[in-house]
Amino acid sequence: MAPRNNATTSASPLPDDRVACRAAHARSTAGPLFTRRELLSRSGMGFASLGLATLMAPTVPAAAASSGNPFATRPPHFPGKAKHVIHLFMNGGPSQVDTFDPKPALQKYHGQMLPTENLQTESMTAGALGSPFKFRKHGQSGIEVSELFPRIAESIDDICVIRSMVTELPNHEPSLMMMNCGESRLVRPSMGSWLTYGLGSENENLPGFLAMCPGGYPIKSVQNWQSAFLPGVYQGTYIDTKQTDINKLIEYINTQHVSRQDQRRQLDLLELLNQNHLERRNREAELEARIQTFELAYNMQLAAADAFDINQEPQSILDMYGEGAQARQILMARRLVERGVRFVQVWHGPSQPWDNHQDLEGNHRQLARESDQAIGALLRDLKNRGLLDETLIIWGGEFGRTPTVQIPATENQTPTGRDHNPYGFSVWLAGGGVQGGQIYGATDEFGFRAVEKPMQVHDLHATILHLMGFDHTQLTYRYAGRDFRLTNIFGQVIHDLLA
Amino acid sequence: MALPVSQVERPFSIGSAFFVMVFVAANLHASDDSSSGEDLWSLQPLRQVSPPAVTDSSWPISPVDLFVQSKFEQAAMRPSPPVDRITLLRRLTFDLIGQPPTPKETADYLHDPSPAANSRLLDRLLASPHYGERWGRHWLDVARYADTKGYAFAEHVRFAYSYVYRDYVIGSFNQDLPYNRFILEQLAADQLSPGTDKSHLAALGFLTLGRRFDGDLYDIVDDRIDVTCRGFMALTVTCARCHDHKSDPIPTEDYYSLYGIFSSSYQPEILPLVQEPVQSAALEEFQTGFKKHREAYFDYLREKRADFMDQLRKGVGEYLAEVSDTEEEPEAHIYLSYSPGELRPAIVYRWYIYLKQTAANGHPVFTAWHRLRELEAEHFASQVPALLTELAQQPATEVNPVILAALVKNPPSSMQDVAERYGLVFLKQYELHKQRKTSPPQGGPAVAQPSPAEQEILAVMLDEQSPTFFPPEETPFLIDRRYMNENWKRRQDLQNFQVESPGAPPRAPVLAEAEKPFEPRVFTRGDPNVPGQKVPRQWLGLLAGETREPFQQGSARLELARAIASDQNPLTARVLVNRVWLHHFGKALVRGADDFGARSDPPTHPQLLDHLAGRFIAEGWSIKRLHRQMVLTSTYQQSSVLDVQRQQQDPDNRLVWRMNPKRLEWEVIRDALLFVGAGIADQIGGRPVQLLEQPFSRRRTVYGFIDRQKLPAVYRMFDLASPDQTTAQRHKTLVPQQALFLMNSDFVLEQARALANRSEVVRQINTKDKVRKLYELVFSRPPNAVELAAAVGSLGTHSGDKVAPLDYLAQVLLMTNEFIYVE
Repeated sequence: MAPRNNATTSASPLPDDRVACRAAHARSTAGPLFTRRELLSRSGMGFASLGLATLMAPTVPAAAASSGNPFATRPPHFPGKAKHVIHLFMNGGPSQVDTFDPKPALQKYHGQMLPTENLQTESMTAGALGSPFKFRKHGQSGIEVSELFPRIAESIDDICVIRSMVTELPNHEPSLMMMNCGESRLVRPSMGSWLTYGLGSENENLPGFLAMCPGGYPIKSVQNWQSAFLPGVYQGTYIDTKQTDINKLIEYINTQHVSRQDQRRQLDLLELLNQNHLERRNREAELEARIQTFELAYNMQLAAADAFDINQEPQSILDMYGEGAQARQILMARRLVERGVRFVQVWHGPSQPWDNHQDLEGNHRQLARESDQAIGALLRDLKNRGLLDETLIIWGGEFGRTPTVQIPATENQTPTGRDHNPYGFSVWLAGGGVQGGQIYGATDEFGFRAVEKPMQVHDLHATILHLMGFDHTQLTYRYAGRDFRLTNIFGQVIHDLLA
Repeated sequence: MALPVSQVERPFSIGSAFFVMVFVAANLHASDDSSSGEDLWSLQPLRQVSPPAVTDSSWPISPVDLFVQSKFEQAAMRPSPPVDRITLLRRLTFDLIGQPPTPKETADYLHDPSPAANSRLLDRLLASPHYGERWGRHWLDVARYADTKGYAFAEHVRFAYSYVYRDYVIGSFNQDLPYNRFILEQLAADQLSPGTDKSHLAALGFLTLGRRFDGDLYDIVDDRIDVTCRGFMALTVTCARCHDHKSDPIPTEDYYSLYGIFSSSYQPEILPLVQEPVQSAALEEFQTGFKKHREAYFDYLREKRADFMDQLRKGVGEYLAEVSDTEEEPEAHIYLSYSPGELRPAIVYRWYIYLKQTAANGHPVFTAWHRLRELEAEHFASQVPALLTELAQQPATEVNPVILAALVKNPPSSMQDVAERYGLVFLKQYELHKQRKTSPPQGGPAVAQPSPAEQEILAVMLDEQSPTFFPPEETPFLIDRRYMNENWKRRQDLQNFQVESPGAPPRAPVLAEAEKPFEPRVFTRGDPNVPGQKVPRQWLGLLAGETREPFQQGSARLELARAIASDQNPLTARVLVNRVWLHHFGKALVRGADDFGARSDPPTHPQLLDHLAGRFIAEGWSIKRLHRQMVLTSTYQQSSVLDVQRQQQDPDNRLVWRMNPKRLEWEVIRDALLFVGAGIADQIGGRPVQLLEQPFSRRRTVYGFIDRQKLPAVYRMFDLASPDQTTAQRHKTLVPQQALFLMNSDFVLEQARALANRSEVVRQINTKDKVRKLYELVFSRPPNAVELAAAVGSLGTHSGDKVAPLDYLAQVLLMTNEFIYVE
């Protein structure tokens, strides 16, 4: 896995032109000049010892403080199977009975009231709405997947389908917060923030936690990837993947005003002045650490341009992922985890695309068409590269949908959609130490409520943290007099999911 | 459960609309080291402390120094040498007014050799209007200030008048408003004796400008308790929301005592003006539009409320049917939207409660109802005649005859039938009532006045205790979805209009007292669905001691404020003194500046803390005097240069053996860039401005628009205080994104260009002189030989394709540690 070495090498290797230009500059200028590496060796302080210890205390775990960089790689509590997460967020809430949880009984009652009472959801629903999609068994495991996801289904033996997810409330806002931050209402850090806080990142030249969404924000916007009371550096960096110009993907990643060569010269002069200043201050660690951030920033410019440039992929890979924004951002996600980024969240689109209160059939078909090929490609591509084992893929929305049809707002509309359903829905996991080819839990006969092994979001979070090497009760942060954690006071690791 | 009326924040916040309450985070402390508070250092009364005697008196020049020196002597530590004068000038100027000194200020200061030079410098800085901007910003961190409401669902996302509070804070610092008064105003300005100037009302923005949590009152109040207790006293009271605080002596009852205080106030939709606006064309235009929007909103709401109440009165039978045979308490979830005719769970719940009350207290209209409910379902029809006969024996004061007649006329065979009979009686009486009101006095047969029995039935529908009655503020949550959307739209238009009208005069984002204070109960495990014991609105037990009495006046916000701002409060002055120390020295005396509880780090200099706190109170809670006591000291005037030996002895600098170098905050970095670059606007106050869009504003950063929902990434990268939590001390991180901003942002490049093109620089003919001038402007000092050679050398090496060489150099200087750190 050669490409992943970026992570460990980021602090030292310099592109050749840079070294050359630096050397030239050193010769041309008067004064006690050293290359950065000389300086570091002379002062006996490698980058790893450029402590931010006092600087960061008491807000960052000891490992982060002693390693000198809030994103420096840190070991978890125990060796985790998964090192990276790609969270494919189907915002709006895909329907479980149309995707991964077939319910033939719904066909039987199609158009009639269910024999059981409809559960109360956000709006009123009426009779059963049989799925318009055909289900078929796939793989050796024979798990049924609807016709919406033929490409994902090809990897079903690597997928663990959780059919018994439950969340608290039938509304988007609290359910998004629950799925991302483990708390429906209060401001709490997101899962990606917790993981980068706990593990750092493996590539200091890229943000450790990225949230990608083409063309805008999902509802609740940046709260979905908020760091809350964790230091702001652990907040997700938003990437508008509708942008195809790499320079516009990350803020300030490039400048139009200064050529790369001139910027290198600027940074060399900056280093000279800073070192001169530093010498007179007995090599204050914090000042030295700040000097280092400019080298990291310089490298980040190159690394980001490289990471987001999917045109570097061979045609066969581009073909495998397909066309459109989903293909582009999912392929970017692969390139990012390949480079050591810790957590990539991929949102389907702005607002809530999967929220099909009307014309569920047409909308779900369209949304699946946009994403199935790329997600299927991601699973196979990661597997081919040997990365699936250490990359956890999460697919799902903030909740599911009712098996019953929603009564439209006005009387002249035909009922063709489903309402939100927090009582039972499907999420699937793949890779990263998850036992594929299995189904976990079950909903009732109609897919309304999880009845077998209901799994709370806190359980999902506890299990994800476990896969990443954390005891979810021990990954804590002291804030306002309390030790907070992602799972609050809840959650248990679901060992049945683990390989 | 339905929200009690006083629980809904008025008017028309979305209440806990469409959320089922879930119980809230419980405390996670593994250890249970709760203490009684008797031993906690921070709760001990302030001691009168005189400065200690020291052996070596050559160093101290102030009482502060004696405390520090005394510790030095105990630890065999020696102070760092005094800082050079230029660095001291920069330190003081950045610390107090958030900008570098000008070359002229530098020269003036250096030419004043008198011992009083520092004192004079301090006078000048404290008198600067930028002092309030700098220190007001520290307070805005505590106040978790933002210009938006967070995710606000149906509200306009911006606060129209948040800036009025921000300007109040800046003004208060500039005037050196006594801190105890500052506290009173921020918690209870509405209850302080009014003068003609209402500007102090804006102080209440401290409470009202928090996140709106989709309008959820429980969380809004929680946020207010937190900002109050942690903001003023560094007490983490909100830990006790679900159960007793695990480490501090704060029982959950005390949380709900405060809850009762804060939920006894509401935010009016139309806010009060802070002063009589000056007549102008813009104002007139605003007033016309404002009237239009205001009427459009309130008239619509009034009309929809009347319509819907009419529906509820006509529909009594349906609601009765819904609760006719239920034993279980119905759920009162409020959902996002209702179709026409859909029963409202909140109203169903009220009927359920109302009927329970009539069962307990007796009510002639419902005597029959309750007796009929006692019948067994299987024998219902057969037992009804005997029961009706029995009821007919009773006087009208016991059994309403109109109801009885309807039942006798058409005997019911189930409770559903009973509900239907009742419904028809109510409907008929209601129709007659309406005819009475509308029929013209002359012409047509007048409808007879109601009999006492009929009057009794009408009262069930019409009086304010009726389940069909709801206060205006609940209207938006009850009406049909088609009207609901229109209502939100009109409200948004009204808010929008105020946000966007340049002529809108400033108003104060106030709280107002509810008519009836809320009587709090403990929410068991934080769950409002499980109300527990009643608690009075009262002061925290750990501070009140055994003589605690419930508060008396209205919501008791003012009483609470007085208890916090009291000379006797052991926390308030200590907390403030500690924070001022933090901002001057980079590290606080009590390291965790926003937690003075059992888990806090004890002060490095307990006696010094008490001495300063005591003097602070004695000298009228004057923050400006406090600055003098801290900075006109040898302690403050030490060099910041690291000393390896001292560092080994005391790595955390707990003894204060040197000044801690401080990375400038985001606001000061941006302001300093403008200050040496394109120039900074001196305008004070006003509506928030966009800072990150071109053309770049030259306003000071404190006036920048702060969107708590979409805080720009660059703010987070530079560790801006989270606008969601009260912050005494910001995080301090160093990440490459900070460097990227300085390397690549158009804003920085613009300042670099402007710096290189300042007339002082352009005027110089010689390259070396240009460099010297840049150094003087940026660092207040000339370059040394190495720096000069390197800078001049760099001017010859660039390719210069797009940017002039001097611009490059200017940008490099602005990126240096020397510029970004105050030493």
